[in-house]
Amino acid sequence: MNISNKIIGVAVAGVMLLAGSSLLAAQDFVKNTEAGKNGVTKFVLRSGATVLAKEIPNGLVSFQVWYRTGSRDEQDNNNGISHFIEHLIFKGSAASGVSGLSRLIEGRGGNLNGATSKDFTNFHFETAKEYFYVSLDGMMDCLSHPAFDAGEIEKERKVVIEEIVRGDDDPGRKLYEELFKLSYSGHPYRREVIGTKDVLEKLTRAEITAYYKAKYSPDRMIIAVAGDFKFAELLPALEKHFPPEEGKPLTEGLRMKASFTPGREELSGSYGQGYYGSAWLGPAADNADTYAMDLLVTLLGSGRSSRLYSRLKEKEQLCYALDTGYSTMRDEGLIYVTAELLPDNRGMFDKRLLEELKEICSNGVDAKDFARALAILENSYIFSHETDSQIAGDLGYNEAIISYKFGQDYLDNVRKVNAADLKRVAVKYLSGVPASVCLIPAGK
Amino acid sequence: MKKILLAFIVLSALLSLSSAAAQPFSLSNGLKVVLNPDKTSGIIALQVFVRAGSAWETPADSGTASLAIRMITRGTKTRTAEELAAASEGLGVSISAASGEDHSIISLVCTAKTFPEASAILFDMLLNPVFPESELSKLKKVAISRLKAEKDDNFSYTLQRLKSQMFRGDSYGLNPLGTEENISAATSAKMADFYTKNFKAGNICVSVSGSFDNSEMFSSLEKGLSGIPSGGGARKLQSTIEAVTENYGSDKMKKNQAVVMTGFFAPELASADYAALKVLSSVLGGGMSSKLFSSLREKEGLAYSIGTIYPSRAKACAFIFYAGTRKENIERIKQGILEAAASAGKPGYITEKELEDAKNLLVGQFRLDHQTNEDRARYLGWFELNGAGFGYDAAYPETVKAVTLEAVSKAAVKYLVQPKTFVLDNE
Repeated sequence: MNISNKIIGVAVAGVMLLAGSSLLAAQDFVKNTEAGKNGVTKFVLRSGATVLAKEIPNGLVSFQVWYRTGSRDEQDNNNGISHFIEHLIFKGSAASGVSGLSRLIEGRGGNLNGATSKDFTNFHFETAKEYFYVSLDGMMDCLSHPAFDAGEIEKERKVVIEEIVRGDDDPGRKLYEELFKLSYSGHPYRREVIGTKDVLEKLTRAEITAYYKAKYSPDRMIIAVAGDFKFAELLPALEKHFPPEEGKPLTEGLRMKASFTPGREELSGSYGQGYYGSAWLGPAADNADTYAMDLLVTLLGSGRSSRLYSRLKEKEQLCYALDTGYSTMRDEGLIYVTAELLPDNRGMFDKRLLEELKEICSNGVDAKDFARALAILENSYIFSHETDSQIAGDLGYNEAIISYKFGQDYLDNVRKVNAADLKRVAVKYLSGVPASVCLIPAGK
Repeated sequence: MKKILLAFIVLSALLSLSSAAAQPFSLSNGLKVVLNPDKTSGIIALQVFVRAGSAWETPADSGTASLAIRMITRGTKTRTAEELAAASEGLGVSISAASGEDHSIISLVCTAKTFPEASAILFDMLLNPVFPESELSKLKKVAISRLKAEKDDNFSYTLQRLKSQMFRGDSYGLNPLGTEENISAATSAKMADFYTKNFKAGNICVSVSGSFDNSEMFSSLEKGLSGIPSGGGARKLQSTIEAVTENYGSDKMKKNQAVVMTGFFAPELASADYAALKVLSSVLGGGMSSKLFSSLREKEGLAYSIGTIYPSRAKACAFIFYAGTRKENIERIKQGILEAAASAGKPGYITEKELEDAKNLLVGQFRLDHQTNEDRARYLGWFELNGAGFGYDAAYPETVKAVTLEAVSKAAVKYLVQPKTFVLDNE
């Protein structure tokens, strides 16, 4: 295809034009620069977009675009539109044509994908440094000028419905979505990211275009880049993809207080075993309790010697698999315990889980368990910051949720937590009645 | 502390693009070791590859490797399962064990600082396992639940069903998890037998990637693992594929989604046709720009997940097309897959440009899949133990680039014949 040639042409022209005046141009284009830790620099662009970048001379580049919008910003009548838009971006711009972007990036050995969640929509590629700018131009072109071709919308609508159908068969996903649905009565986190078939079948091109214009604006955009590039080349390469006029910083919908509804639900279906989950409302990302909560869920369920795993799974054998988690989100996320078990054991598991949590609320945690949880959390942080995409992902995700500094200061803040803090957050967040869901095989 | 840790992270990526520095060594007992130092990441990933898995099993003992390899981490002469877990998790590291078809892996990822203590725990597990009955009884229950839960994953379930249909009479048709009957019959004595039979130096390859000095790492491995008995290594997997197997099978389940998989017999990793078939898989079903993705998903909107799989195996295996769809689209998907398979070797079906793009994608993904020390150790051990040699890791990109359109077409004509299809249909 000649699309790629066209894009290369634009990139070359851009670099040449800016060669003599890059400083001046960059000053106009960049409103504010901030030096973060560990070689990270934050640029706030005139348009309102944020760029977080870190040079790592390793031959590869990870480029990620995070929009501060997801199903959290939707309504019942357009639920699923963010995820649908994510799919449609890959259908290309007027210039690239269908599949142009994937051919451009994959044909040069890179990979690309997107993801939509409650708080964000994400687009990303990783590639060899030689193809970084041509890939950047391709992705930015699709994001700035999506075609939203009427015929392609119809075809992709079918693909997304396939994705919904596929998800319905996945008990892990189903459990998670049911826990959110039950827990959040008056907050948009209750809606599924993927949306509903009914809504998707009706969404029009006009609605999609208007929603894109409203929610995918530069003020909601975060670009995170890690790898083998130079700041001095990155900014001019980005500049041509942004409107010249000054944008406003994002002010709407920054924080919505979540309300929680405890409850209990059992759903039967074509499952091979039982899937149990209980959830409580946790601290939001802007709450300093998040660090103690991360340690507490690690202490409870990470590793064979963790509190719940060693007692409920290893010793009492009430389940086959057990996991604990806490979603750090823009608004109050969920703390959860999930298990795979024999349906007959669900009552006993539930009882014992609540007893264990009660004991921690009364007696706190012991020093050895605390030290182990800290070591596990520290190491998992190190092991999850090994690649360019992990590093860029950490910057982009945290900035989309609260601030990139959250990740930069994370280990320092975790290390300030003490054992007494764990008891305190257990009492504060885990002493109430949870929202519990159990998926059980039909007839059990 | 934090600054130092993050400095590790920056530098770790410097050498991340290849394992060209990897070197082979032999311990005094003959155990093969491949070392790939980068010295800067602060991380060490060590993988113990054992030539044992379902491909070495029979219908009567399938599932043994899967249980036994997990039991390795569940008790030694001096420590209980609980003490072992507490010791490694106290360092913030976990030692995991898993088995597949051609091999089993016991894996340790830790910081360079904790390596002496963490590796001592691993070596204790590898040399002194005692397979306690109480632990085995727990793992048996977990294994049976895994078997039941397979039905909850449409993709894995269909793949296993297709394999058992294609490889009837061959060990690739066995479920690596075994059968409920075999799992129930497992005893501590059988686990110990498995260990004695398979944990011989010639059946094991240890690959290590990360921050270390070769001579220090060698001494540490010599000290820790030279106690493993010598011997083993002469075994080779034999392919026993039956010439005539069923061409079509299907299951009806109460599901929302249907899955279609079509497989063709394909050669092993060490075959001269391996690279050409890898490229063919990339053209037909790799990534979002592949032929299947653009025809059946982009143009017709029939599937969400669609592509091809061609695994790197120690003996003759399968080249598989897959698509998740709905009941009403099954026939069209089946037809689309067969059309692609039948056309793949015809002149003009694959253009030079498509071939070039697919090769770039394959090499690019390979590089991107080498970014962590764990990834690099895994590739080295995998290639070494399964017949290609660890050096194939460094040679792979050039080998793929040298594949011609003629070789791809020939491979398509030779292997994409006699399709075997399995469909997970909805009730």
